[in-house]
Amino acid sequence: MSFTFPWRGSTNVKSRILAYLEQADLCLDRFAAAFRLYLERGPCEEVDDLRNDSHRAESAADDLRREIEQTLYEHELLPESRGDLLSLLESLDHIPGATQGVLNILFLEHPVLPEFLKPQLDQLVAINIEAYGVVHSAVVALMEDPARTRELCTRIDELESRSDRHQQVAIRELYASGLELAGKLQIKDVIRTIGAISDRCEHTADLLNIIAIKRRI
Amino acid sequence: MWRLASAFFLGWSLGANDASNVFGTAVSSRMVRFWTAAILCSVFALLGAVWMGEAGLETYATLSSYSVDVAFIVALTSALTVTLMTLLKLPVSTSQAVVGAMIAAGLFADSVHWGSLTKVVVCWVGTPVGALLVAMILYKLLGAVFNRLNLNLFRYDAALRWGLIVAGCYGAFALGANNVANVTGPFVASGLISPTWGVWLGGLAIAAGVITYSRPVMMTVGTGIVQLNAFSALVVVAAEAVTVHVYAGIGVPVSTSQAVVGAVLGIGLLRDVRTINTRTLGNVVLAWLFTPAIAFAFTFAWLWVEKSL
Repeated sequence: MSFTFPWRGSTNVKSRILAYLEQADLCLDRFAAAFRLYLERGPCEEVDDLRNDSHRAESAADDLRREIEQTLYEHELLPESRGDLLSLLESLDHIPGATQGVLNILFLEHPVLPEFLKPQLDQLVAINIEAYGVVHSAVVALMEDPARTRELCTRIDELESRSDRHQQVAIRELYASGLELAGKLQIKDVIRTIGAISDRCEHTADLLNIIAIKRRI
Repeated sequence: MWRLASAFFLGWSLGANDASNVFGTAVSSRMVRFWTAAILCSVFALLGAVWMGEAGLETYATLSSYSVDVAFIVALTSALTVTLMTLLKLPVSTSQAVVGAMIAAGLFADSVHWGSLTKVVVCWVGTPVGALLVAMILYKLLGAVFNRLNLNLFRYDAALRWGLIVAGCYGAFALGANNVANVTGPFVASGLISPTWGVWLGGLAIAAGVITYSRPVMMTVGTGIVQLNAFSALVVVAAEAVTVHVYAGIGVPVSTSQAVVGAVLGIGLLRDVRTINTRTLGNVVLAWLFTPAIAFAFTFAWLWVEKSL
């Protein structure tokens, strides 16, 4: 006869989620560094190195997510909590994935980013990175102080709206410029792909909110 | 003594069926392994039977007087009724089957004590109603405590898991205490065995049913309860345990299944009236009416045929 003590599984899952967040942090940090360096210098070896670092962190996060999923499938938690965490992980995992989308465009297409748009793009990346940072805090809050989760999710929503507004301004400026249409379309793709990061953050925030509300009776 | 086999059979089927009402949620959601739940459930059911089971035996002894042969027929026809109702997928109550059979035997011998019978029938109505009220109170109280504690996801999960295990053990205790009279009550009333032997034999029969055959029922019924959500499931098991325990103290065997249905309805009333399944409610009312009636008919027919021959 064997008995699973409830706290054992929780500790395992929690520490692995924290480890996952560390890798995701690293992935986003390297993405931001790579993008800023690209804004400064355009395509170069250092940008590729940072892209590789970001990709490695994203892969490591992916491996950890699979480990956590396996732990959860081994019935460590109540089915309800298990389902909630699995959805949360799936949603979280799209955030580092979105950064890889941006870096792939830079690496594969070498787009020429116009000078007049660089401050906008830099700010857009900053807003999206901040949105992810709040997601990180909200996930930790869910595991430590759930009363804070809602407030943090509201902040994520605000950042996503700011990101949307920035994207619109940047795209309007882009299309008002004299660049050729192919270039405009390529840069618009970069802008949209950066914005996808905060879209993913907002989706995760919605889930976090639901998970927290479900535990209020 | 061979006639006691029918009591053991009834106790075995009771244990196999009713364990799901106390540990079904925990086992079907795989938070407790079946063997852990089965051992906990059988130990606590036996403990309840031995510690608090005699009050129910005394009530059955006052319902009517029987011979050993009649006690055998009562146990057997009750088991047949339970089997029939189970096949019809109605929420069956062993207590109602046994009492229906005992009344038939008592009427046949013209020895029914109507005062005791009234007490039993009042308690039948009181079981789902009592569980409904207890569930509503527990839902509010426990809900306020959980909200105030601001438990994080893992602590919330652990609190519910431990809560379900503790409530399951308590429910098993109440099950043994309350339902042991159904198993050996007629034989104690006939004088074949003493109340002490009655609680031990009945308790062991229930425990044997839990250990050997409760897994499939736990998996079926448990998933039905879990659909509520883990917190509501905890409230349902706790409300059922409190209600059945109260009736064990009064000395009237009642149905754990009907207590569960009452508790689920209580939560349905609190959360959203539209979630109440009127078909389930209709089935409960049907089972209420038909279980004692069918057991009565089986027993009366058996005794009548036996007498005619």
